[in-house]
Amino acid sequence: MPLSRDRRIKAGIVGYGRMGKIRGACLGRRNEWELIGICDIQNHGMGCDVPVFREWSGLLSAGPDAVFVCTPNRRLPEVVMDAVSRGIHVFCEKPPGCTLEDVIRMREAEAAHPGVKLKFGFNHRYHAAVQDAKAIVDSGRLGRVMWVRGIYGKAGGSRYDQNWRNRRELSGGGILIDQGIHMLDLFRLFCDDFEEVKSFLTRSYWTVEVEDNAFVLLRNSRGQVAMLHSSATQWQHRFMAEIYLERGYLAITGILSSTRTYGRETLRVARCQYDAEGYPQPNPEETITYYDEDRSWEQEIDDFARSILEDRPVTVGGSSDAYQVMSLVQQIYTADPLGPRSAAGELTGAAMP
Amino acid sequence: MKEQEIRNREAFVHYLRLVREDIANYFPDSEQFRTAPCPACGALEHTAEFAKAGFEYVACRACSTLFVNPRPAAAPLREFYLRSPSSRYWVEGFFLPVAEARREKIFRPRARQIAGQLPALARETIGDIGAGFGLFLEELRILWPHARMIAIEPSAEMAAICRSKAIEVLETTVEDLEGQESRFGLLTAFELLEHLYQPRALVEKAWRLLRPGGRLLATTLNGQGFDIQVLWEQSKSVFPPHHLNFLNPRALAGLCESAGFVVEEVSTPGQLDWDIVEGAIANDSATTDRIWRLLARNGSERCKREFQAWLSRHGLSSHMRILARKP
Amino acid sequence: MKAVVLRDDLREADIRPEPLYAEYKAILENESRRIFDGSIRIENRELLPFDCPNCGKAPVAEFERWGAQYCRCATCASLLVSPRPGQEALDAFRRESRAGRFWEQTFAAATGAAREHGIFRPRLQWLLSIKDRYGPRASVVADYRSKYPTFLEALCDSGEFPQVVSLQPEAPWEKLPLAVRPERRAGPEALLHRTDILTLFEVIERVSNPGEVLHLARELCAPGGVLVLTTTSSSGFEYQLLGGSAPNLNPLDRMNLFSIDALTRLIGKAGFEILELSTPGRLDVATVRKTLESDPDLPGLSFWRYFFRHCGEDAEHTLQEFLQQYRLSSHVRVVARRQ
Repeated sequence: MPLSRDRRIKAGIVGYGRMGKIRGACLGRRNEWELIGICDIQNHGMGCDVPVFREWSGLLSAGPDAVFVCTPNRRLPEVVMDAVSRGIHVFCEKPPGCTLEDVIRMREAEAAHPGVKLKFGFNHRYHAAVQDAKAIVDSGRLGRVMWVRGIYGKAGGSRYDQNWRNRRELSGGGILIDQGIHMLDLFRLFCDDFEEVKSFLTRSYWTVEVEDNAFVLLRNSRGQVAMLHSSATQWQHRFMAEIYLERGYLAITGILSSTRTYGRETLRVARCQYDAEGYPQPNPEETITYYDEDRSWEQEIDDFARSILEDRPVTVGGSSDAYQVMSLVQQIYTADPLGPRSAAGELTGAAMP
Repeated sequence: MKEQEIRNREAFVHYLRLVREDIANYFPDSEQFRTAPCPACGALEHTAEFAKAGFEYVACRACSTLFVNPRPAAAPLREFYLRSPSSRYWVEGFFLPVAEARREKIFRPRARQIAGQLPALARETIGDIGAGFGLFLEELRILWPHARMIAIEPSAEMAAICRSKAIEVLETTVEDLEGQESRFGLLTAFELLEHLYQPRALVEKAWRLLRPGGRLLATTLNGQGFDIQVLWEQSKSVFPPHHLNFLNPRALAGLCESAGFVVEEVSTPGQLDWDIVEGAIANDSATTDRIWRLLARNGSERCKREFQAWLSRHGLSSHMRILARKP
Repeated sequence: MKAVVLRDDLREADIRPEPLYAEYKAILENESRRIFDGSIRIENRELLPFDCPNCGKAPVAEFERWGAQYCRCATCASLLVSPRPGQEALDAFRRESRAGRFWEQTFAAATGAAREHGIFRPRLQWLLSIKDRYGPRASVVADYRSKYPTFLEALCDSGEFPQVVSLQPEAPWEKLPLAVRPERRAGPEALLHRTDILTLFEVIERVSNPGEVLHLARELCAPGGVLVLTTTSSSGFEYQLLGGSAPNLNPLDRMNLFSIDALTRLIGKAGFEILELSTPGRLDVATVRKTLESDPDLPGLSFWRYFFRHCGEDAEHTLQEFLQQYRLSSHVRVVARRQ
């Protein structure tokens, strides 16, 4: 049921770790929202000025209009399905569960409650550089997208080997499902869906049971090719997405993330210049845009609020996007059937979640 | 790195006050000063720039080196360095409290850089001219345990400190050092050339002390560097009688080449220029071009950092480094 | 907010070739001196003191240029000519101006190809990208106080904008030294609240009352309409370093040089949300170098003299890009949406 426009959306947050706190802070900056409670089993919510629940069912019973589900991956589906079944709108962090099966179950719950809005946190689509790039690609002025190439990598981080994100039963996979999934989502933004998948998964450095590097090649029926390198051994943090079109290119480097370690968000755009015979000349003139602020969190939440208040379908990060990208993740894990290998070439167990 | 980390502002200001007092005691009569040619290129033509604390600074018309002229003779300068209250304070009040910070921020990275850049010298005889507390040799010794480290240090007090760290010491100025020809694989002289009555004498002596293929590595102030150029006579780096010579990348390279060296690198890896100018605007109300005040007020941290990197990359930082080889 | 950097090969000598530019400047200087000393007879030529439109305070005299007194606002650091003629007098003057005719008939003709390549083509691309990003359904583009009729034609030829209009507040058109085709001419009243994209290319620096123009801009824009503006800023490298010695400082065309701070506030105060504020100028470093070379006695600036003598093209190039990146070039462009 759409809410009356003159009232604020009552929200709860399930899982008050790093992401939960980011969402909470963002809600506090938006007029449309009112935080009514949080749920956290590790008492991260101590000191909050809203009720703190130990069980999510308690929070869901407290009458929120919407919940933000920010738990580890394994927990996401059951909380989402419980909330949806109670008619509560849901914003769920990425990845959408651990497996494609998880997404399918969440979509079934959604289908059974058509009034409920279900949105997933593919936040990168809301970054200004990505939005500008999308407008340029969609204008068609540079022609058709031929190929895209993405690097998304981090140095792991403190106690990376002990992080729940690297325990398959909790996360569903390694760096690919945790961070690389954002780049896959962006590939889908700029290209049609991919059908062919090739991949190498390695465990190059970290003593973890999942991959710490994923090298991926994708192709679709239009002949568009995408290359991804997702890495947890990128000692210098790096985000880079290149989109090459028939008549020019775009390159996004750096992303204004919450950690601010990926460099200044920058979009370079160039239109091919041609010689007298019409052949493209190398290194055309570029226009470079630098972005000073990251409004992606606010825009994502505003979009969700509009969907709820105006009863509009979720257009970005809906369950269909979640299904498609998790389907890719699953195919990538399947495509290297031997699974992640260690630096010594030793197999490290089943790659499939 | 920030200026405040390696140079306590208040201690530095106090030190500068003592220097002014010492000038009156040690150099009472500028009539005794001697007219000197350009300390870098030897040219005689120069342009008067400004006077500071009774010392005249001039710029060489040939190589743009900024230098004190006329200048105190070598002997009273030496006396001043060895005995004056300001020199003592520099050691005890100024340097010692930030010695560990300097070790970490300056000497350790410096030793690492040299060890990385010149690995072939790892088992040679290394001499640090004006070794002071021996911090650099201590750090290099960790990286090059098989090298022979020798401090060349005229101050008895400093020499004793070096010895207490088990560093071999030649207790003299390098200019007076005898009988060591072609002995060294590497000679270093950090922040020394700007103090000397005759920098040329040091460079020429270093050439004789090095074995063929040996290297001289020196750092000094670049008179064409950003903070010095922008602040000019307001610059705290411009303080007599300590800083008499402000060469620049071309002048320094020319000096080494004329002494027989092959220059392998002249760079300005300084990191503090912007910080110094910003500090001077904020704390000393220094007058600068409008654009620097704008940058100080409105520039983001990233903008200032990138500006400093740009200065360093293009030879425009006031901290200069030269690596020269004896052929 | 975002900032844009342009990497291309625009050279000053191409768009301001000597000796033509020197001739143009000489005519301009002569006219400027006569308008500010009162020897040109035009109606309502009285010079009036001008307060900073951003801060409301009288600016402080800083230097004289071609008979005009440049003053600086002590609060926002904008450079403003004060006293100054009113708009009516300026318009009357421009209709009669020899410099204006020289520009239109001789100078613009001689530099047409270079301006087409270096200025209009990137400007057209810029407008198209604005349309793609902020106004995909934009149909009415209005160029206020048009300076380059050929650009209007290029805009039409792009086929992207059904209606391209040149807005000129003063009448009649026939008297203007401006070859805008009759079907594109209009007065502002024709497009009130109807303009999807309003362009003010180098306008606010040459009008007598820039605050009023920004207010009019808001009236012209349709709800959600986009204002596109270029101007020259006192915060830019060229003017920061050279001040009254800046070679392109012409009091009649550059009467208001706002600082970036002031410009941001003025546009906001007029009821726009700034989407992009960039200084994609490519000429500051070259202009300063040329000025230092031609005027060795210019006081101060010894750091820059050394820089230009010894550091080379790469250092100059990277400096210009740094200036662009951190909004320190003198050429400013803004995209703002009517709120």
